[in-house]
Amino acid sequence: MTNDTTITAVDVVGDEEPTAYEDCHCDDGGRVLSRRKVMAGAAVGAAATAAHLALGTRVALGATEATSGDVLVSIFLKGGVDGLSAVVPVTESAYFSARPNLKVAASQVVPLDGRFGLHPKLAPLSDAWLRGDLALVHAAGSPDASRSHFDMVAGLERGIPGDKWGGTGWIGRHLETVSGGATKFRAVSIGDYVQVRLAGSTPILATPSISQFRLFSRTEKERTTVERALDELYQGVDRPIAVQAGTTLEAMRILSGIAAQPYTPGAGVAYTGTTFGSRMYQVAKLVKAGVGVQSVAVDYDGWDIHASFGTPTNGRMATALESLGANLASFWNDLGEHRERVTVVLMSEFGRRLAENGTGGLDHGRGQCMFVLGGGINGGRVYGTWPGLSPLSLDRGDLAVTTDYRDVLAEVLVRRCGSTDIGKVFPGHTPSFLGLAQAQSA
Amino acid sequence: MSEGRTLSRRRFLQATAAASGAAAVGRTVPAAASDALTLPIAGASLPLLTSDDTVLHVVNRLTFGPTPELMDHVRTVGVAAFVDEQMNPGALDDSACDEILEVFPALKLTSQEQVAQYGTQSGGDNLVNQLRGARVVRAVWSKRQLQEMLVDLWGNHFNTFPSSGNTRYLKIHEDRAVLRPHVLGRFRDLLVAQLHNPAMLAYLDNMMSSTPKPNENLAREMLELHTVGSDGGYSEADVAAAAKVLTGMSVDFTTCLFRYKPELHHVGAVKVMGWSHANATAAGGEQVANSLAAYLATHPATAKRVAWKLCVRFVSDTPSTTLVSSAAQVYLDNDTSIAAVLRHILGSQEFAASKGAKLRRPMELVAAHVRNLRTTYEVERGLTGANELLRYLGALGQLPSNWWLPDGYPDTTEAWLSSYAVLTRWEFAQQLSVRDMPGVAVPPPSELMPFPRPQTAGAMVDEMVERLAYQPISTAHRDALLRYVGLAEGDPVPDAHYSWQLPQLAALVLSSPYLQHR
Repeated sequence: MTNDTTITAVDVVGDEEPTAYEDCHCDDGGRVLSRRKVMAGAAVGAAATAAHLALGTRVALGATEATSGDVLVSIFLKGGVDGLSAVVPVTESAYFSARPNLKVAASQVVPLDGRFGLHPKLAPLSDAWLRGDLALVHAAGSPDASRSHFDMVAGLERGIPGDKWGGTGWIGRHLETVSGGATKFRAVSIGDYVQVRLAGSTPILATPSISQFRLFSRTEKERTTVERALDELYQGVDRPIAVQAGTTLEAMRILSGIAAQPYTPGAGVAYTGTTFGSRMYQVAKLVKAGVGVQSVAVDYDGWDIHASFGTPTNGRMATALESLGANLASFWNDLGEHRERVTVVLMSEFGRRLAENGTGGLDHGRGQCMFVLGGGINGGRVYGTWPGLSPLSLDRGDLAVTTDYRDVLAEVLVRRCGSTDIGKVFPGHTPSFLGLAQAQSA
Repeated sequence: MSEGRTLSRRRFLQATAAASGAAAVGRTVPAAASDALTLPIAGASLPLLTSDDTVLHVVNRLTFGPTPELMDHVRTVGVAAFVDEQMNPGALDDSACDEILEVFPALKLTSQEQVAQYGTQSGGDNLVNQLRGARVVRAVWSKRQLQEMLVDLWGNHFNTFPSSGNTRYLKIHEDRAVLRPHVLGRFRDLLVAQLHNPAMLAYLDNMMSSTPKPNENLAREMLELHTVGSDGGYSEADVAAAAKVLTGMSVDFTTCLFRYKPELHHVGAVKVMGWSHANATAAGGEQVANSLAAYLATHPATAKRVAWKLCVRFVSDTPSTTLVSSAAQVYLDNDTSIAAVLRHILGSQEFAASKGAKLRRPMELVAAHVRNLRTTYEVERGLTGANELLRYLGALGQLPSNWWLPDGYPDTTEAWLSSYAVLTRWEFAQQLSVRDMPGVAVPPPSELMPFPRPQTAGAMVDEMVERLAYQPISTAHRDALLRYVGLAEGDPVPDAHYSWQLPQLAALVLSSPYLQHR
């Protein structure tokens, strides 16, 4: 029996994915992923590649399913991103005086307009800004003013402020109102758990990477008989795991086909070796594979920085923003012509306090800065009403909220993603649009 | 060598937000899939356990999984006696497990010794790895199974993450001195112990918290997660006041043990919900904190949450309000005794009716399969076996002590059902069954069978099912296994075919829905 535990070409049959994108114990929450071992007598190399391709072609690989609008890529930045550091209000003296140690100086930012500048670590996104693909919505947030991670994440994932108890999420409800064909990829999570925002009647597929999604077998015949046995063992089982088992088996067949195809990232693309970088690479690959992906969810944690925030060039925030900037920009470049049919929304549970705390960090705040990236977005503008940072404008010492996050999401869903029933997605709320998205041409 | 390298003051890394925050949400929100997943499915549903399987049910719930020996033991002494045994872990001889734990030398060191011996970045990683390895070794091989389940439960309820900063040197002390002595004791004692827990004080920044600008982190989580809960009736003002109370609860940077530091303490009257205190001296601050802990531990909202947590772990994902309320009352009537609440729950009709209702989470699944196959740990290979099991737990998303947020790993089904998770469950069963797992010795699969071996395909399937599942399966599922074997019911099984098929047959039974639930 072989005991090979290193990742070699045979472990990633047919997949160009470099090992640099493997998970690491990074500050942004990297998790050790399993290194698939080669079982005794496993058919590896060219023969297995051919087998994967054969499986792939059986399931109509390459056919683009008709979807209703843009692929929606939702990125949740977990922990509470400090929007005032990401998109700096350079004309606000209150910002500078409240953060003697943590401020980003006006000279350090990438200027956006007269009022705001981009944190230097987000400089890779300035191309998207200049191209008009990137819109920012500052002082955005939920009507729910809780500063609790759990309450806010729950409410935001559900899309119903203050309501953390319930079975569906905003993307899940959206998918119930639009068509998507028979694809298994209507709701995808690149990660290893199911985000609540995808929750709805549409089956969800979660994987950290395309190439890892398979079982090993000693022979091809064994692979087929084992998969069939598993399929049958989960028939007639009235438990949640049974439906997930069916989705799993189907997805195994399709993803092995994708993994078998050679892939080259586009020009100007340099994903970094972080979990987030690895995930955005997977998203790009999946979107470009043409298997009918309709929505993809990625979470990026590591933003809850109560201490040791650092400087604009060094420290925990700088490190996190560096990964965000480099990998989001790489993803955007990697999509190439696919940018026209993709919209990315980034949000967090809340922003952070205006004033530094006593441990070199920032505690939970309120208003945040949302990012919207898309070929059909009216970018190059900071949207929303800026409330200012004077004592009377603040919400208990925090940046206030002047734009309901649901208005941003609703405009994307209606104008870019074909939503015809936004009231079902955000019950009890009538959104008003900021004008950041162009309506899809018919 | 030891100059006594002191705990670094420089980096007090607040555990950053969730590795799986949505799953934290998932613990309270029945996710997506489950709304759709209760569609009526034609055909036989998963059969209930048969009548003599009160034994299997209790073993499934009180331990990490059955073994033939354990099942025999419980059948012999009876369920009641078995429960008593498990409620009294100190009286159970655990020397066999202790021998395995010798491969983790750090377990015996004080925190200060750990800093001295494992003080580098990679040393710190090594340390955390030993703690994680010890957790999984105990889950599999300890006789004190209920104690291990409760160490897991309370360790997650009071979660601390071994960040790359200080907390990693404090986790072994936490396991040994804070959790284990209290997991079957009184919750109020456990809460006080946690407010003196160096790992908790480091993880949630309290050891640096001081007047006039206290750090609210621990105070907030104490109220929101550890005790009364976000619906428990506290305000932001209560959080701020609790933060003031906790100033001074800190850590000695040389010994890495708890030290109360009066110079950090906020002095002056404080009020948190229905509790107030003059808090008139800096020197008296520790007693003020203990007093607040006593109030919170005995609050009805805390009783409800503790009862709910135990019901979810031991009964089902959705325990009835009746059971939770009655368990909460037992908690209050018995001075917060965890054992009393547990006995009440185990004696309930709802418990008896909940056979197979809980999905095995990764830790429970990995431990169950390793136990079920009568695997032994290869001590001479040191950490290899532990690392192998941890590798799978990592892939499945439940590496011990790897949850970033203070709320701990979720305990309900939907949080664990991504398709990658399902795939990895199957992969683990396969790897274990074909014995491709270094550092642990799985007996040859022929030992799962009686001697002489079954002569027909039907008997082969039946024996494997009985040995690994301890219960009958549906006809349709039995047919699926026969189809895998590739022979008809009464066909003889040629020797070569038998040897080839046996491991995967075992893997398929382990991967079946019957063993995914407990």
